[in-house]
Order: sequence, then C-alpha cells, then structure tokens
Amino acid sequence: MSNTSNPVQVPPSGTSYNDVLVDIRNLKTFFPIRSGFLNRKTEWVKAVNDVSLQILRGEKFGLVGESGCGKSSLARSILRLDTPQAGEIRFEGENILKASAKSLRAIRRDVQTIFQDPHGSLDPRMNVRSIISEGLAVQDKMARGERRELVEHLIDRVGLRREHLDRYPHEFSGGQRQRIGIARALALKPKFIVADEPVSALDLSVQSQVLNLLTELQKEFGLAILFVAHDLSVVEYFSDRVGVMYLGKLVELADARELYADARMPYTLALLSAAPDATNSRKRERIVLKGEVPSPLNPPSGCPFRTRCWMARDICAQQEPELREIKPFHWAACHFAEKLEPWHRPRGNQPTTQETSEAGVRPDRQP
Amino acid sequence: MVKAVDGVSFHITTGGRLGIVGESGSGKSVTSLSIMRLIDPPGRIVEGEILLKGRDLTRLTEREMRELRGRELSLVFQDPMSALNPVYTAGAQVIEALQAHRTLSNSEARERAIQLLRMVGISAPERRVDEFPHKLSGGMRQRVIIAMALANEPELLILDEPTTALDVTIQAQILDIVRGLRRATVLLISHDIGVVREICDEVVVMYGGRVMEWGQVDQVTRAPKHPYTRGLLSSIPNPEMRGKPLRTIGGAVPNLLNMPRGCPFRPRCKQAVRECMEMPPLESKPDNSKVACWLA
Repeated sequence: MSNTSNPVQVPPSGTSYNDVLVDIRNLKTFFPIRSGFLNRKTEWVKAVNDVSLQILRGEKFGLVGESGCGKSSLARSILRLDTPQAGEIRFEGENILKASAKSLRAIRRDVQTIFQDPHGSLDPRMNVRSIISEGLAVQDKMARGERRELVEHLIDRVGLRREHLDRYPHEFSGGQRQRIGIARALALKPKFIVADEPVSALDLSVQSQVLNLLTELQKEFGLAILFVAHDLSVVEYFSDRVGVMYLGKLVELADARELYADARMPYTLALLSAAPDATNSRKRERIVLKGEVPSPLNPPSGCPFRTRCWMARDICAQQEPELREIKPFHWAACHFAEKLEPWHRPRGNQPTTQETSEAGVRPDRQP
Repeated sequence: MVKAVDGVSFHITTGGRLGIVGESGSGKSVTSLSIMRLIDPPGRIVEGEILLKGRDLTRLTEREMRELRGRELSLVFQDPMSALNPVYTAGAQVIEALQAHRTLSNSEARERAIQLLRMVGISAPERRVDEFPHKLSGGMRQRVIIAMALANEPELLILDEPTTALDVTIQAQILDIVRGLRRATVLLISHDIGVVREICDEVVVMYGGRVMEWGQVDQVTRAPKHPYTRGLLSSIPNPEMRGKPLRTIGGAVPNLLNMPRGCPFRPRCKQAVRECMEMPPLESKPDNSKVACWLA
C-alpha cells in the first residue's frame, strides 16, 4: 500500500481527457480473511492492489492475466459487485463508489455486463423476451409496443429469430445463450460493457461467431468494452489496448499490437510465449516459468513478479517498480524494462539463475 | 440410441504421440474412456475392437481389465481438483498406485513416490509427499496425478484435457513435463489444437463422433484437407486477422440426440453436395494423411 502509482496516464495519441469514459484511480479491492477467536479480520487478500487505468469512449480495452491476478475483481468493482476499499472509479467524471442511489441508477443504465457462463447467467424461468426486456421494464417508461419493437430489433441484431423470443434458456445452445446475454446487455443502449470472459465457455467454431458479433455491435453502438479474458490470442484480436495484471497489479499497458510485438515486462513476455500456437502464426522462444503465482495474501516485497523472474536483482526485492511510460503510450512496471531484449530471455527453457535471482530455487508455494 | 462414437479407427505406434482434437460432443473423451473400458452403463461399446499390442481389450473380463488399468494403461483426467482423494496425502495416493500392481515394501514405495514427484517437477518432494491435496495448487495436483499415472510405467498414457483447467504459464510447465517423458506412448485429448501441436506427432480430428482427418500434426495444421479442419483452424483469432471479421463455421455443433444423416458436418459445410448424405470413408491420401470427405 506504500507505493501509490501515478494515477493519471496520458491517453493514447490523438485523444484528450474528455475522451476518457472510465477513469480508475488507485483502486484497491481487498477481501478480508476472518479467522481465530471472535472471527477477527486477520489478513487481507489484495485482489486489486492500487490499479489506475483509463478506458476511452468507444474503446475495446482488453485485460489479461492468470487466475487470481485480480482481473475479474477489477471488473466486478466497476459493476459494484465487489466493494473496493479505496480509490476511485469515475464514470463520465462521477465517482461511482460515492454516487448517490439516484445517480447510480442512471450509471447502471450506461454500464452493462456480459457474463462468462451462458448456462448460469440467464434465469431459467423467464422466456427470452422477458430476459431481454427486464432492464427496460425497470429503467424505462417505454410504451409496450415500443418496447416490443426494440426487443425484436435486438433479437434480429444478435442473429436469432423472433420466434426464439417465446422460448426458454434451456432450449438454446451455449453460443445462442451468449447472444441472448448480449441482446440483454444492449437493451438499455449502454455506453460501456464489462465482458468478463464472454467467449471462454464456447467451442472454438462458435467463439468466432460471437467475437464477430461483439465487434460489429461495438462499432455500431459506439460502445466501450472492458474485455476480460485469459486467452491471449482472443484478446489480441479483439482489443485496441491491452492491460496485463499480475498479483493485483497492473504491470503493463499498451496498444495491442505494440504489446504483443514488444513486451517490456518479463511477465508479459513469458505469458505471451506460453500460449500454445495452433497455426505457427508467430515464432517465439518458449519461456517456461518456474514456480507458481505467490499467494495474494502474502505478496513478495518489491516487484510482485520477482520470485519467478529471470531478470530479478536486489533492487526488485527492495523497491516496487512504478508503472512508467517506457515508450510513447507504452507503460510497464519493471526496473529493467529498457534492458529487456530477446537475448535476455532465459536460455533452453530454463530460467537462468543470476546471482541474486530467486527464480528456480524458491518453493512454488509458501508453506 | 445415442452414438457418441461411431466407426472410429486409428492407431498409435509404440513411443508415438497422438492427439485427438474436437469440440464438445465430438466423442473425443468417450473414445478415451472406451479404451480404458470406463464407459458408464447403460452406455457400452457396441462393436469394434481396441487392440493393445495385439490383445483385444473389449474381450477382457472386468478383472483382467482392472489388472491392466494403472499398469499398462493410465488415464489423466481434466479436473485436478476432484481427481485426488482429499483424505489421503499426495504421497499415499502415489504409493497406492505403486503397490496396487507391484510388491514393494512401504519404504521402497515411499522412495519411489518421492522420485516420481521429483520427476514431474515438484520441488521439495520429500516434504510434499506428506501433504494433503487441499494444500496443493491446481498445477501441483495435476503433477501428482501424472506421477500416479506414470507410477507403473504404463504402455499407454492417456491425457484427457490435462491442462484445460490450468493457467497458461502452468500449462506450459505441464506440457514441458509430458514432452520430456521418454519411452511413454501418449494419447492426448484436447479441444486446443495448439496444445496438441506442442506434444504430438500425429493428430486425429473428430467431429460428431467420427474421425474427419488424421495425419502428421504439421501437415494437418499447415494444409488441412477436411472442410471442418479448415474451418476450425481459420476460426482461431490470429494477429493478421486484427480489424477483419474472423472466418466462422455457421451453425452449432450438432446434438448427439439428433445427428444429421451422413457426414455429421454436412449441415454446416459450405461445400456439401448430395453424396454427403452418406458418410464418406476415411481414405488415405498420397501424403499418408487420411481424410473422410467426398471432396478432399
């Protein structure tokens, strides 16, 4: 909690601060672990630990990281499904963590979500028409005929047929259900959609259909999307900019193309190299990291990645690297970001043990 | 009657690495369970044979089969969270696998278990051997399960989606271990052709309970011959496709209860012709690959 990173990043070229739709500043979302006598809070899981980032209007922002890195907690914090301990989330200038019930209601119109699980996220007792129009019924005083027209327009738009409106979720396949979820999210004409792993439960041949649909609708409705996913090739394809999280920290942020071509944080490099490649579309040396992600209950001092990093030196344990602009519009949190070159990558799939590096000798998990 | 797997034939040579890829409902897991003879009733193998070094597994009694499982055939499941018994230590479960098929003293078995855990990349195995599964992460549990599967140096190691529940950096570690296994004959089942490509020499592409294509991994990924394989490969997002719509296969994976007649891919195939109402045989092509398509 000591190191508070600089919250304001300059948005990408050609944009001004007015283009920022969601401005997250020094967000901390912690979960208490209660134990012992009287059920006292004894420890905190620092799921999101001082993250600042901006999402622009109409931008597709990808957020990647492995399980437990805090990407879903960040998404849930924006939706106020998790309660952050500190920091701000400004939506069009208004801090949604402090907003009154009334303005929160207005914000909830503008911020919608698409869930991961197409089976669990639709009420099995509601037909498709009620599912899609539920938000309208709550938020809008729309005439019945008008609402019906809108719902029919939406069902066409997501590639389903009108007769599907009277059916129930169990009658649909996973891909179709995800389309229903998308129609529901669009019903209130939001400005921003939080999509947490929207295609990861789908078969490959269906995943590409849903990705295409999301891309089309994003353009058509001018939506900003926070796209949270673990599949790096999907994120690269879909996103304009990509943020990488590790142990509750944002460790790198850049244009998608730039990030994939020239990662400046060793973790990002390792993550990209670890993704299996089906078509040989890129050639890169595989980096196999030793060990596992440390427990967020007890993150390492200094840089969160140092325990697995082949570049780690003394300074990495002493000082947490700031997320800084390494190149124009490319931020990375690494003391050696400028020095990270292909020849610094570990040789022969084995992390090199440099004199002060703990990689490779540290137990994978704290006892 | 649901035909989960229908007329599937392939073989693996000793020491070979064969991958089966397919989407949900393609029959890839049912194929692996059939080899292990672990199909739950009322499901059963209706016809065909499964030959392990010339011996037909479908004709063995349940007792003979039990002898074989864990000794000559091992299966690693997808979910590392539920495949270990929570009330026994990791070591006890590896030891059980060892002693089930061999007479080993407790201390010998323990020694061997520690060796196995070390082999699958578990650090401090002397300590880990006495830990309970809940203390281990998903990646660690999957290593313990692989150690159990390797305990008796099986003829065939079947890995059914071994890394699907794991993060990519942990997946890379597990794939590294599998790649390093000398001598083992591996059958890897995965929905991810990238994972298959990491490990296997050959790949069988399944769809709707049938084999669509079978060949060298490099050949199949570089120049797929079956329209389904082509469609599948081109639906994978890749950097060159940025800003352009992905190519898609229309429609959805067929329901096993309602399989189309003939080629199962026919309703989604852009090239389908009248002949496709009949299932094409898996035919050898000049480059030794095999394809089940009238048009290939």
